Formats: sequence, C-alpha cells, structure tokens
Amino acid sequence: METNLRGLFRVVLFSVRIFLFCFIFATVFNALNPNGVALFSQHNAEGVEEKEPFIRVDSNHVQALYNKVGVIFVDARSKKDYLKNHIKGAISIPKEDFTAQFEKLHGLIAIDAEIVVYCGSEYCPSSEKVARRLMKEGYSKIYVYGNGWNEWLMLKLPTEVIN
Amino acid sequence: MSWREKARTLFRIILGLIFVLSSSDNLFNPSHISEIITAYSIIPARLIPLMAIVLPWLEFICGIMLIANVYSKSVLLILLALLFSFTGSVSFNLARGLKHACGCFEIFSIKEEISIVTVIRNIVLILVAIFLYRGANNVFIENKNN
Repeated sequence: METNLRGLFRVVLFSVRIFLFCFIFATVFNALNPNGVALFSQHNAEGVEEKEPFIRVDSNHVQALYNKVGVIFVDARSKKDYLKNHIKGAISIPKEDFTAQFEKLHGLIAIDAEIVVYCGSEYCPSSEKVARRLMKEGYSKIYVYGNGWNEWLMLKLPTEVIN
Repeated sequence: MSWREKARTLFRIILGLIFVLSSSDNLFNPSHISEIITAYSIIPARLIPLMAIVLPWLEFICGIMLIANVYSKSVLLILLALLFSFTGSVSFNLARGLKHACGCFEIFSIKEEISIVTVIRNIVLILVAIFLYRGANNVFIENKNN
C-alpha cells in the first residue's frame, strides 16, 4: 500500500515537472515568436492604460467606417489566415511581412486615407503593431478594431474568401 | 509480446499522434487558439493569453513523449486531466446551448463545431488513456531506481 502511494506520488511529481517544463518552454517560445501574444494587458504601473496613438473602435463604429466610402481595411493576420477568409474588401499587410507587403501597396493608399487595422481578436497584438508601423510611415487616420475578425465573423458581417 | 502489449503500443502511438497533430497548428499562432478559448466562455479573460500559449505546447510535448514512451505514466496523467477538462467544457457549453468551433483538428482544415460527437470521441480517448495508464511504466524513473 505504502509502495503504491509512493509510486503514485512519484508519477504525480513527474507530471508536475513535465507541466512546469512545458510552461517555461512555451512562455519563452512565445517571447521569441513574432506571432506571440501579450501575456499582460497594456497597463502601466499605476493601472492606467497607456496612451495610444490610434483610435480604438468597437463593432458599431467599425460598421459605420465600413459603410463609408474610401475607408481602407487592413488585415494584420498571417497571409494564410487572410486567404482562408477576411473582411470583404480588406487588404493583407501581415505584421511579420510588413515591409514587403507595404512596399507593394503603399502607392494605392493615399496618405490622408482613413485606415482600419484588425487582427484575430483582442488578444492578438498584430493590429496594434501594424497600426504603429503605418503611423511611422506617415498615415495619421488610423483606427484599430480590437475585437477584430472573431467579432466580425460572429456578427455575420460581409466576408470574402480568396481561392 | 502479447496481444495486450501490442494493442497498448498501437494505442499509445495513436493517442500521441492525436495530441501532436491537434496542437501543431496552434504552436506558432497563439492568437488563433485564444479566439477558440474565448468562444468557450469558461476561462477568465485575463488567463486566456497564458492558456493559449501553454496549452498547445503542453499537448505537443506530451504527445511526443507518449509516442517515445518516455515517462508515459506521468504524461498520461496530464493528458487525462486535459481530456477530462475538454470533455467537461464541451458538455457544459452544450448544456447551456452554446455553439462554437471545437478547435480540435484544424490542421486537417476541419471546421468542427462542438457536438455530442465531440463528447463521445473524448470519452473514447479517456478510456484509451486509462487503458494505457494501467499498463504504463515511468521508464526513466524505474531505470533510475534499479
């Protein structure tokens, strides 16, 4: 009986060690992964949200922008996700391929254009990173649709698949 | 090798492969798995990014270790805990009428919604894991003690 309990204890102990190894490995990998997500929300030490250079929009505001002529939607997710499905009319500028993709497209986007950037959901950092890069390139009317693709899909708003 | 041992080896490799394949699509793209976890509406929002980061790697590494038959008993304990929590989450959401993506085998481009089939499949996997656990050895621990 005692041997059985000791055996079980050893098995559980190794399970905990395996879990801890996976936990540390995964968090380190995430820190190095260009598609990694933020572990913590964007708050400073005082608990106040950091000032962002772009405007965050919710589903109502984003729909109004979608129906407005001339507003450009930028999909910051990976090219693979974009090809699977995306907001109808959106162009793809993935965070990890920003420079190459922006080179191809920047001639088509007027410097004073209103641009809405989105990624998968509020937990992906890509939309914010692409928005910041666009602002560095001189674009000033940038909106970030935080809830992104996930919410757009749930609201059954227009989408498009590229075959 | 008896038929029981042969069956255990076969099921061990199959179960390991299931976890490796179901997790491999999410290893490099935690934002995708975070969307799926969000849709389950069970985990507090603050914990979702952490879970999205750790869960695929936990499944992947445990799957590899199970195939390689390294610390199988401890690995199976982790996989059983995961399978019980997946089955509980899917059952809970079905009971409260939620319909959303399962996030199970997207590597094969299967867009599966949670259903009773998901629950039954998970129960079968739990039974397989229990069968394996009963005959598994923690190879490295026992070698060390001998």
